[in-house]
Amino acid sequence: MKYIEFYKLQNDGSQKVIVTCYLDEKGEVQCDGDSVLIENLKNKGIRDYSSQDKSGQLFFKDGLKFLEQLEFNFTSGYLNASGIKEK
Amino acid sequence: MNETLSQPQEKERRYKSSPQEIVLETGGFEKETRLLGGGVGDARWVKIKDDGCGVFKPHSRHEKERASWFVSRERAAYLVSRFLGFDFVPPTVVKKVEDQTGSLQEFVEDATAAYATNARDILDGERSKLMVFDDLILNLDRHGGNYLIKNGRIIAIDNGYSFEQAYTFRLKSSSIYLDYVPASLAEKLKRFASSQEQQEILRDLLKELLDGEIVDAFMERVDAYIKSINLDNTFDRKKFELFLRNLV
Repeated sequence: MKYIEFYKLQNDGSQKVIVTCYLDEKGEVQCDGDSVLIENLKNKGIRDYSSQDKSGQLFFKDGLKFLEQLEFNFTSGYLNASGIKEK
Repeated sequence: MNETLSQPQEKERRYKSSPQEIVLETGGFEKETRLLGGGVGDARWVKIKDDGCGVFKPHSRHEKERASWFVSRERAAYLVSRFLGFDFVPPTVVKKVEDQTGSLQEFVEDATAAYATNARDILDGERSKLMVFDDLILNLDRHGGNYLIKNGRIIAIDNGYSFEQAYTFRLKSSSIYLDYVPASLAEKLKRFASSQEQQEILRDLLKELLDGEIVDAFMERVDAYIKSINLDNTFDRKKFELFLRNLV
């Protein structure tokens, strides 16, 4: 199963997994964990940095593409997304 | 050592490096943690010897020239925030650590990414400030993953996609954020506009980081922006857009 993890940076420099997102059997994204972050991801979507003008938005229905783009949207260090993992 | 500096030199030194910047520039790292995720490569949380923490980003996933582009823009955005009175980009310097050059930004404890925060927790006027800032530095990449919230206030981090070009014809932000300039910000901007000395120092500092044409266009944009603030702090968007067109 393909999935990604969100890491929240703590004051001591360690990171904590606060959300995991994965593809369901329909190829859509599902997430578990911090409800505020999940709601914002679901409702606001994320930026598609692979599109030419970087202005396209991706949502849960975009499945794998959404998962692939998360690590480029969340790069601040304070809240990072991993690349796609497999289990 | 400062005793040997003349008064104007001492004043200039103070403007050029705040105490926090000096700590970031000169302090060694006591502890480093390589951060997972993030896609930019080699970002680290660092504990600075005897004084605070920071986030070091060499942007090493990008080729050298592009990485250096991001690093210089992180510092430039901080300088703009500091000199114009936005005061919401944490102190940021360019630092060489062993064979890597990156941006080192003061770490903000207990701050949360906007995407992990309820919109209602953000204080009135904070979004307006961010929109104005992004319009001035032509930041093309603002979303809830690259600004933080602490005690209802915005902390603007990840400013690497700014100053991509010298000019723009129009504002990117939605007008609802720009009809009114928060009073405290308007006051600080007008103070900056009235100080030739501060303008010159900021221009010089930015020219150490960015192309001269981009810096000159930015300074003209700031001037035009301030001239478009009415006495009652309402913002004359049409006047500003006309200025922008005339600047090109």
